[in-house]
Amino acid sequence: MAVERTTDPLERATTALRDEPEAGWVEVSQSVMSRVRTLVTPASAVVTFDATGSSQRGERGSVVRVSGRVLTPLLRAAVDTPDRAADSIDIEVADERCSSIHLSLVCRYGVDLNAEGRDARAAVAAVVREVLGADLAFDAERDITVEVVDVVEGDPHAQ
Amino acid sequence: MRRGVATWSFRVAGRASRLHDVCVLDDAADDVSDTAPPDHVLVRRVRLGERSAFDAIIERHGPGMYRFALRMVGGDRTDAGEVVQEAFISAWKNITTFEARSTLRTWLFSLVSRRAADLQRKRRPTPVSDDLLTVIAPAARHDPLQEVMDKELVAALQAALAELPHQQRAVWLLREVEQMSYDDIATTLVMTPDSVRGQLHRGRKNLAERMAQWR
Repeated sequence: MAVERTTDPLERATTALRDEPEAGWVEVSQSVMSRVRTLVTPASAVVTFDATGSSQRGERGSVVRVSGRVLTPLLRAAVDTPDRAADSIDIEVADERCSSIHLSLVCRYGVDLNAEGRDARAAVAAVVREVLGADLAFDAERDITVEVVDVVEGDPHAQ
Repeated sequence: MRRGVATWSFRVAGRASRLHDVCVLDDAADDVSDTAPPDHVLVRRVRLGERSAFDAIIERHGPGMYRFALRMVGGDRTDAGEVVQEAFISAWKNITTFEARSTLRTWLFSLVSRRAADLQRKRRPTPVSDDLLTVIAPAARHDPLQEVMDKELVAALQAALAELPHQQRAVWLLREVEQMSYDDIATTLVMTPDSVRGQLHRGRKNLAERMAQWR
């Protein structure tokens, strides 16, 4: 550590402090990342349905639930394309059922926004069908809303 | 929530309009940037379940937060590590409610400041006012004429910082070491910019008095 010799000791010490390497940060960062990976984000669980639209399976009527933590990344992966990026995904849960999904999109400037909106809605609906099953009360046309909140030049994933 | 109508909408520059069939785009956003994703993109990705984006936030802001924590807790690396870890845990748990009224950086530093204060309350008493501070004599552990070495100068500053009240120390560190603006410091520490200026003035004066022996 080289402290520039000025007449003011506080100034010299401040400069030294500012330039000081963050000794020990590497170890701390690994510990922080490991700790955060063990944390579970609170999320609502959503009931799944079989092909007949029933949420109860087997003789005992067992119920399978999927966490919003699982559903959200799947929806994001389905929605994201080079021309659009999910900005937010809000899953509304009522009585353990997925009652609606609101999707906000950032799109690349120049694309057909109508087509992107329709395509994104279809992608969300496909994931819902695949993961949550045949919930007869869920109407993709009614219960999935898509909003384009921004258009950007270049990669919508990086802005 | 509207029922029975399949809709989608678009919003540009704060104006929202809901459309059913036609959307004409006549506006464009900012220019493309080839640099790493900005903070708001990382926050968005974390909210959408991308854990690696949080790692990127840790890598970007962690070093500064750790440096700040280290000086806030008296130079103890274990304590600083604990403070930063708790701050990031809090950030992870609350990032869905982070509303970008402040920047991500000021929000993260505010978490560090709070955790550092919590830790110090648990571990050791600290002065709570300038009046109390005046009765604490500046420590002169070494003969400055014989031991003018860089490390000792920093150690002396650390010791002087430890004698400052929590908020005064935080303001001084954020301004002089992290080089934050007055407004950002005010946001970070939940103060007014005028209070920041006042605390900074007192902090500089107190530290200058304690460091004067190194002239």
